[in-house]
Amino acid sequence: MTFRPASVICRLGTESDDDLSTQWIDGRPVSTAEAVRAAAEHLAASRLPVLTGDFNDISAIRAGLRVAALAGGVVDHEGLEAIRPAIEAIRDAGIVMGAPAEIRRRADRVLVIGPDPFEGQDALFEQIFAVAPDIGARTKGKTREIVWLGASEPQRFAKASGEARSIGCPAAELTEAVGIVRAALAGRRFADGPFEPGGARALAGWLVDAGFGAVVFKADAFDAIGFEEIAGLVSDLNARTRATALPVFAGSAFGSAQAATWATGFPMRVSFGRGAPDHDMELFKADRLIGSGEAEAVLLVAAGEGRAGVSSDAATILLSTEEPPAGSSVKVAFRIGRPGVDHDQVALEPRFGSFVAHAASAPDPDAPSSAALILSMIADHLAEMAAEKGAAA
Amino acid sequence: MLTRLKGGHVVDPANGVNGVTDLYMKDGQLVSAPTEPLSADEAIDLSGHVVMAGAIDIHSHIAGGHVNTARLLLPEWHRAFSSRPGETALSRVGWTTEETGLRYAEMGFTTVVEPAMGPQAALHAHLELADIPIIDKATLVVLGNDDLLMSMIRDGESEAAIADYVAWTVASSRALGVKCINAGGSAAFKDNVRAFSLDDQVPDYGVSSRQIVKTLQKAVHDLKIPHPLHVHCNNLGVPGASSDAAEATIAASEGLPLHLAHIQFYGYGTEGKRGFSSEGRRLAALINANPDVTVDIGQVMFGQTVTISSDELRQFAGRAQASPKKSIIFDHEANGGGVVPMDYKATSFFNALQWAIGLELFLLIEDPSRVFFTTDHPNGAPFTTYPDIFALLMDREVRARWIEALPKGVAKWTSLPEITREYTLEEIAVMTRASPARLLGTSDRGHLGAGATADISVYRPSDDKAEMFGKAAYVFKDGRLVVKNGSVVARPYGRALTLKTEADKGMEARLDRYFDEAYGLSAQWFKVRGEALGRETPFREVSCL
Ligand SMILES: [Zn+2]
Repeated sequence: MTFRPASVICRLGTESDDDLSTQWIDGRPVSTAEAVRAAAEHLAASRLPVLTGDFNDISAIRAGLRVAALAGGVVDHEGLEAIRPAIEAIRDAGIVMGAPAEIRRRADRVLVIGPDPFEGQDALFEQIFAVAPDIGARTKGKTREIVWLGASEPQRFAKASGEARSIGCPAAELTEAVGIVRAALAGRRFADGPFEPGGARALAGWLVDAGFGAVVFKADAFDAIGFEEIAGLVSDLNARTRATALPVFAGSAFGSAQAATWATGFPMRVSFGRGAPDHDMELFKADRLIGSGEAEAVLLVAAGEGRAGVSSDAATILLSTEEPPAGSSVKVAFRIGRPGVDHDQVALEPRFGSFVAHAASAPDPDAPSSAALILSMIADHLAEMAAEKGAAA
Repeated sequence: MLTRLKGGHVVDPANGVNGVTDLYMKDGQLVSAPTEPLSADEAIDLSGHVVMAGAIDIHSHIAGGHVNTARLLLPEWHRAFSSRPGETALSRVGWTTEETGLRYAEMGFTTVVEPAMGPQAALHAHLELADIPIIDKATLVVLGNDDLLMSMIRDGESEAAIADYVAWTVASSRALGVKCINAGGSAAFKDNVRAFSLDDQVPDYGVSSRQIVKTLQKAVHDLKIPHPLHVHCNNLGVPGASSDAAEATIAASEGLPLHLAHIQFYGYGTEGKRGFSSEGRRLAALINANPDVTVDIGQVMFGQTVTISSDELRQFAGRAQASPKKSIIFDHEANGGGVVPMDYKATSFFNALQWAIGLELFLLIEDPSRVFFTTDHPNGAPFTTYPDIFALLMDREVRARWIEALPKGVAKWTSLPEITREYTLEEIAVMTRASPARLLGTSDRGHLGAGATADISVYRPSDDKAEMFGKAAYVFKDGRLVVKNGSVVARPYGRALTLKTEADKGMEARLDRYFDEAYGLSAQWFKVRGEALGRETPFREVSCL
């Protein structure tokens, strides 16, 4: 069974109003059709094409998966390593997790573990902490209490509605500290570890006495074992009261991983080298495949600013919001529009806990095409090539 | 182009047809026979074949946040698929969006309803549906644990205001109908309540589960939404309490239509030394006696699967039975939910009796237009087990062989061995075509009359019903041949069927304020727009009554 996923974009650019200033072959300006053809042929000729980059529009990853499926390639996301511990921990051991919107309204006690989860996530912080819990017979009208384990000062939480305090703990001992709280909860013997004498038992009791507790942490600040330990703490608490975990994810990797999961069954890294999708976190790591020279072609999506730098020796197809660097290994380059600015974007919204469609904030008919559209055209061309080959055979 | 489908045995109960006749289709629709039959541009000889409308599955968890979480939780399941294609039961799961479309189409199913779309996950669900090839899709949006509805009931707001809120939710999420799942139970669970029945009140709101169900049932009726309120009752799976919940909910229909989902999971009594017995016969009698009520079964079949449900309270309780031992529970605003892997073992007394209870209900509910064919995919079993279930319903010798293989002692706890009924082809067509289309209000399908969408499945008759229904000889979707000899030959994209309804302007403004003030969310985020889905025709609208 060959995997042939969705054609994502149905609207194709017309040759007549083609703009020669947004795509290049070997640095030479060409039409969209020429560039698309060159990219498709290049990918098809390669034994192991690798697609990677930031894919921060869900339409782009959907189209990218289709390109990889048709070209027998690998798909990775540049942010995948940061969410890998979360994925591995969740699928090994499960989790009880909550949406920020519900935590805002219900959590009377919040345990924050480790480095500031809200760095660069002010809107999410505001959403949860601007108000006191206002629903739930056990929680409504209570002053929210916040404990930050792993900070010397409750810093950021000074601005939260409620009362915040901190418990110092070196970063390297956080997982152990969580394990100690679990032992205290279970009535098992434990060493104090980073806690003051009696501190662990007090913290465990504070969590058990919550009406609805939330345990918040930066998802990429822990390895899979640490993540699993925190999920384990929340699971244990739920035997006696209600508690929920909120791992905070930054960037677009988790959204892209979800799209890959529905399309292939796996959260990436995925290879279509054998036809049906295969998953392996290590084997299909783009950096490794490019570094070792196994990747014969690279397709890189760089929608962020200043990301057009290409380090690969392999001939590269670059989709970038910036002009491609001169004299690099870039074979075919496409200038793409900025997602959410020049064209619409679908992205995971942390406050919503799900996907949101953002209309272009500054739509411009002259803006370069979206990555999704370019990738779709490449996929369509690959599909045509495959059909012709099938007809010939 | 006019195509003549020639000489097939057409089973089309909606139009009273059960015999050899020709069908004609043109531009994706069935048309009346032309005065000159030879004027057709193309003729396909279907003599010796059984011809039915494309089948409709009204309750199958095929898309959305919880379904995708299940995929994430169980990579080993998918791996089984990729390494051993075509061999094991696991390989036929239909686990990705791609596989979902292909596997359904191969069995002659052309419309499938995802029955549990959270309003906040509507875009996610529609993105996945847009990636499912061939079949048409639809969704039911979930209400009944949401703060606003419970607050409106508590505050005595008017039925009209509540209906406006329901209409906004259906319109924003591009749903076809409304479901409520353990009404109030998820909200109560967030207040640490661990058991919740129809007349229990949600803490803080003081509103009972019954009030929520009745309010939604009325709103759906007043809005003239064709599909009646789709109810997942309280106490799913709890011996004794589950059948009490089903009995109480059946009695609560009170003259208005009500659909009860996966009734098998409520057919559990407490007799015997194991405290687990069949209430199948009693529930079937209650359903037979109440014409307001329709049900789908949620048949259990043996093997590894995963349960996916927005019944957060019951999924949390089910964590203890997780196999493999891991689960994911969600505290979303409103419903939340959970994903719990389950291995139904043919050697387990409990699982074997669950299997028997589902079949008792299928066979003892007399009217095939009020019972619907589901496994609650994947909760009772993956939808890829459907061919075996058709065989169990249509052939009592197949049933006898399965009963023979049950663990000792199971047979005496079920009336299944005494039941001689065999579903006829016509009854199968009623249950999987005519009646689902009526229940959903999708009058363009489920039948083969002129004007119907040309979704047609053609089967090669066989004494082996699993063989017959497992691989359709031909399937036409919108008049296009998509399956031949059980294999997909074309994969166009279908649409999501959505209800043609509009939100009231005043409610629109109120909800803009409400979601911002209560949750710090933009009400606009709940709105699914077709452009985000990247399909030429993402939706087809269905009219209200
Ligand atoms: Zn269900």
